[in-house]
Amino acid sequence: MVRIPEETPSRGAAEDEAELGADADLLGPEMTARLSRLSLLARRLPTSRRRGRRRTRRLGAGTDAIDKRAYVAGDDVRRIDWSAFARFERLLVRIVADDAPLRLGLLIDTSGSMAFGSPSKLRQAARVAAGLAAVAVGAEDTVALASLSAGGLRVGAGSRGLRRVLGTLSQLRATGGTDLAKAARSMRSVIGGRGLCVVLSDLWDPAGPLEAARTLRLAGHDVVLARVLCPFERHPAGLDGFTLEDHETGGLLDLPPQGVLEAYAAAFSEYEAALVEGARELGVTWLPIGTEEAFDTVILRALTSGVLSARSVA
Amino acid sequence: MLMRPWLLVGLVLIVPVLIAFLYRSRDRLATVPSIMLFERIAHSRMKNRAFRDLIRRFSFIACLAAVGALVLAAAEPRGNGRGRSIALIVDVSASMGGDNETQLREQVRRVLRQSTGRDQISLISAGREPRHVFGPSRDFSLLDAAVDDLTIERGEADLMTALRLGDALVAGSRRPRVWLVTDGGASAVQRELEIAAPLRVLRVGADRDNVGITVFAARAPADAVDDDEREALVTVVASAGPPRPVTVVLEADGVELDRRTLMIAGGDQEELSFRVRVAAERLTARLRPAASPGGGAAFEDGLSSDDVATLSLARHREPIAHLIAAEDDASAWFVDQALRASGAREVVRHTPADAPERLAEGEVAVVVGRAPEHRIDGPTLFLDARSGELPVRVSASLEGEATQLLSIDADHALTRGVDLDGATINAATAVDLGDEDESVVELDGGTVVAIGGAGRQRWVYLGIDPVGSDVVLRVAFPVLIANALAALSGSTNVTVAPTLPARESSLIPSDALADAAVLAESLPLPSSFPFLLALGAGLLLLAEGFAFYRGYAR
Repeated sequence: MVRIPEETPSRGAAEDEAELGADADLLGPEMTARLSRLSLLARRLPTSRRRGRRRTRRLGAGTDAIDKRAYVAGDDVRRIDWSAFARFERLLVRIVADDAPLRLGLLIDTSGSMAFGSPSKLRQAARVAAGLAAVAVGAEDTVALASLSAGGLRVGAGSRGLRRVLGTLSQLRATGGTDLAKAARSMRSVIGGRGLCVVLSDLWDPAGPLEAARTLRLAGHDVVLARVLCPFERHPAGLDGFTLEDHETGGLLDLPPQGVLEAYAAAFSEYEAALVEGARELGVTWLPIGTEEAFDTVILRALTSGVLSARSVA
Repeated sequence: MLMRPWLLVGLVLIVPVLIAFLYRSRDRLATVPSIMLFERIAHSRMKNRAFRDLIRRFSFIACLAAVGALVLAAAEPRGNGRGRSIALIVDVSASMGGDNETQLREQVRRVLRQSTGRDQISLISAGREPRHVFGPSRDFSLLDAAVDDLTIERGEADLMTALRLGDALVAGSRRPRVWLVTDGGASAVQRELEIAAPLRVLRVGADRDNVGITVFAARAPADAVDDDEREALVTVVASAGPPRPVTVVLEADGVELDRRTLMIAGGDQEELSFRVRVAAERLTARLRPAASPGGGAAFEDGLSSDDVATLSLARHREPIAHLIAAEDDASAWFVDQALRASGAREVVRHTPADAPERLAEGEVAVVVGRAPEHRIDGPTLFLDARSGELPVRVSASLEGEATQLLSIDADHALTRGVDLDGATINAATAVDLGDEDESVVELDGGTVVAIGGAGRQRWVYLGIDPVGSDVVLRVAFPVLIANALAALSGSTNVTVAPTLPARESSLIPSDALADAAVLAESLPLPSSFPFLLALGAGLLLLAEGFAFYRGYAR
């Protein structure tokens, strides 16, 4: 058997299933501090019975007035804006926004194919998930975690919650097949309401790369599709005449004796364009991530793609 | 046992197959996260490695088996066990002629070639009289030569006898078989046919189109002006099919006299009558397909043997008469004279005791008074015979009033030119006739002139006593004797040409062959073992090629 090229070595089965615990330091204190200055952006603000830092457009018991209107019988007299009455001699009541936390759902693909790459796609996905969890926890948002292998986990705000998330992420193992739609359905039960769901996967899903996103969108979530690929998957050089074996399914393919790279590049571009277009039609934010990319680069791309923003409410 | 064992050297071909398989097994395999995108550019796909390995092993084994089987087939293996005893009955009736004859020989050779060398084959020619012509033999070349010697007959096949003969030939053998090669027109096969050996039928040349002459006869019409005037009758039959035009040409000594075109439908028969007046020795009727009225081409006739019929108009030679009478019989002298006057070539005298038992062709017996005690095998004229072996029963001796003429068939060939009205008959012998016999002259007391029998057993009875009447003194007597001789020795009035039976010309298939449970519609030819080996090898190689083409076995 011939291994795939050196820069993207395939991993043996035992190695694939190794826990990430060997590198549990997914997020250092310095990085955590830097992330605390960021905030997650959600197009649809969540509903929650718990008070948070996030201002919603729903009228509620918050402190920020967002508008005024004429008083009608039955209004809370404590909301009457007396200074406005002094100026306009009309009774106006303050309309204030309700403060609610954001629900962040992190759906991580732990199928066998995520073991590929250096660092592995699973590790890169876990690091990005840890970063997003740190941002959410810093903003007193709730975090829910779902994966194909570890099931669901939901934690609240605070450093304790973040530790639990990091601990779970470090336990993830890349093994088995891909069924993101199933994980997405378990996410719906874990997250507890509408929120922002981030899918971290290579999207080699036999059911279709957008099925998980579609399932989450149907549940009313904002969705970020973060596709994690290793360099080999974008540029598979030196495979002319090879027989390929699918790591997950065991299926075999005979490749033509020449021109594989060119043909694959064309197919990859076409496939990628179709994915981006599909994501756009679903209203899903597309976030490509490479295993070779530094964490800062990924965070910067998240900022530019509108997943993250500098915190506006502190 | 191998017929060509040196060809086993070909087994070395297994070596390149082995090398090719080992080379093929050296995979350049890479494991990738997913082959989802690679599927768009791949040659072929396999479910998994285990399945592919299974296919490869099967492919390898198939290749080895195919090479081995091919080499073995080329070496022509033959078993040492006992073969079958086959009675091969070949229908050589007239309907097997024409194109069928070539096809027949090819099919028979095919049967012989495909039967293994262990089979013992007997060849039976099924014609009018079935014959065992060759075998049993295993030698194909000798059987082939015997097939070449088969000749198609002009007539029907007695398949029933042929089948029994075949059955008897293979009876007692370990694996008896009866194979029948025929066109299906086996009129002689009965539904109740029971033979011990399994019977199979190979149909040859069915569904042909044919028209043929089944009857061609000439007779002198009643109102003929002279002996040269003839009425020729032609009967034409057609095999199944749509109506088609045929032309019938009548020739005399090779000169065309007349021609007619008629439409004849499948299974029908049509009769044509030609009136000719010609002095000729031979009259010929020819049949040929005609162009259709719409201008279409003439159909293709299946048999040529039934398209021409020829009859001879030459008069029969005068017969030799054996006059059988007691030495003291007074009327014998008159009869002798009358025989000579009527043109008998020779008159040989016998007494009833030394009368011949069997007559040769062209001979007639004339019995006067007392018949011999034995039956004469030949046409016989009985003249007032009252005792001995007679074809009729004497009912009465007539005298007086009973001898008055009651009726006479004036149109009968026996009475042509005979005037009995003025004759004085004092004594006569009346006879009782059978259903098939024909009364010609009756007196008040009963029939005295009659004719009956068929072929060599044809007879004429004249019950008028030559001594007790003046008939012998009249001119009518030698004329009557001449008419009787003509009737007994072959009439020149009606001549019939030899033709094929209607069933052969119309190609009517036998119901027995079509329906009988013991008969198969077609013969599943025995396939030789080498052929099966080669066939199996070919199939294996095809499967291997397909697997390789589809990439399953790469």
